[in-house]
Amino acid sequence: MERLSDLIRGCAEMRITGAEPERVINACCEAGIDFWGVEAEDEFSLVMSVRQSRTGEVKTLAEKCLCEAETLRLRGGRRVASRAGSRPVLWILPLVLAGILAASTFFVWRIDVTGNVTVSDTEILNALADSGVYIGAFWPGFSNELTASAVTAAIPELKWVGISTFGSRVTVRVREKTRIPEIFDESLPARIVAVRGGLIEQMGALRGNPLFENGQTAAQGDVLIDALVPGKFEGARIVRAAGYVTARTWYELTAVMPLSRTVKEYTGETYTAMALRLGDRRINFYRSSRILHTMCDNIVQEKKLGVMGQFELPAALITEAGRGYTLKTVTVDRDEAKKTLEALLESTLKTKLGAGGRVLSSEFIFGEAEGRAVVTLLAECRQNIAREELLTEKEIAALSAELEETDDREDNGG
Amino acid sequence: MKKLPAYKIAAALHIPAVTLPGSPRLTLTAGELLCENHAGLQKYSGDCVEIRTRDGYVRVSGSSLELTAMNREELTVRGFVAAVEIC
Repeated sequence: MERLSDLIRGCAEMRITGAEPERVINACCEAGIDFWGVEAEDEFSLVMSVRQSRTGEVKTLAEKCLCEAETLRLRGGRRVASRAGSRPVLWILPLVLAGILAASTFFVWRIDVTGNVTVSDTEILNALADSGVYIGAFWPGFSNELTASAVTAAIPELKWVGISTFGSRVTVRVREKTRIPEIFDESLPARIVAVRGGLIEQMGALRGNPLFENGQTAAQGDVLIDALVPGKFEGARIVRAAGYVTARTWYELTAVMPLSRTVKEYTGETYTAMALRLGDRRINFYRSSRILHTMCDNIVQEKKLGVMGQFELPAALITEAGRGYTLKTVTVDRDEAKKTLEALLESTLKTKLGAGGRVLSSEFIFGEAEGRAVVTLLAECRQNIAREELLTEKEIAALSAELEETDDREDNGG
Repeated sequence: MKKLPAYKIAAALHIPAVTLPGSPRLTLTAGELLCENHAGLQKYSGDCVEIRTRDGYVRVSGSSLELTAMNREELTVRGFVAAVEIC
């Protein structure tokens, strides 16, 4: 910093020669002349640095002290200014760069979206773009409040949007609407069907007409509890069936896994490549995009340029590092393969059984075929096989027609 | 009549010399010597710096001695200080 100050203000290196050069130092001190870098050359001369503008005063003081002062070297100040004057690029280029930097802070180079859970960033960014807020937009040209209102209107899932502009960075905070829970409509006709075939152990029809009894076997898709309920006094009616059906079910699941697999073997070859991204353009500082001709792992790091938290420039420094590798085939241990497949099958069975399902007994059968490990799971389980199925409009119409026909017949007969 | 040094008067009156206005004060820290209330330089070289004071002078001996800062009240000498003599 001191050197820069010396360069801007200009300094002169002077040699003081005389019987007592120390007297010049004392005189400079008395006169308030700044000096530094005092070095004694010998008993009768010393060298020191002063401001260029004070060299004349130092020479006068030296004469008064019966010494001689001579200027050895001039640095900075007018010399630098005169050199810069003859080479305009030295001052025009920094000025232009400073101007570009200052102008770039008036444009949006980064948009951060926070607070969204179900609404995607892309959806919000698209709504912002429609309102005139996008990467490269002139931020003094748009109103945060108006943009927030437009985004709220464009995305019905949002209840509040707040937009803040910090230099070239725009932060969008959103709050989503609370979803209204689905209302259970009892008037909707529905029946209970079997999600899987099995031997019914326990059946409880809370509403509707049960078509099976305990001990009977139901196939997948069979209607267990019907929506059409016959009435002894008021005639038949259509209801929303509800109930539970616990049945014993049997599963046979198979999983296959090759007994050989390929793994990476690093060759030791590495490369590092640099690139600069300006807006949408990318400038590579290397010739080929693939320096390694073999397969390689690529690690790409992108560092955005700008002042952290204040503003960002539309530029980023990209560093790519790569590690070359070749693929090698290795044999998988049979026990390992068996354990992996068994765990996979158990997980799959658990998913199929659901929350209340239970495995009564299970057995794994391991075998090999065509270089692959095959594991079969045979399981006997107990689970709820009831699943609600809403009736279609056509089915409702057919049932209604059937009901009317029955009523008419009973009336005529009566 | 011969003028008595201020520090001798202070000693006779049992007054601490530090309290006397304009009395020279030396502070020696690692590789740096600060002299307050000096009266200029007597001699300056890389191995010896003599500083004038109101009551005499201070000779600083050593090597690579350099005058790093100086104004009317104080000056700083930096370098390897081997001895400080008050003459």
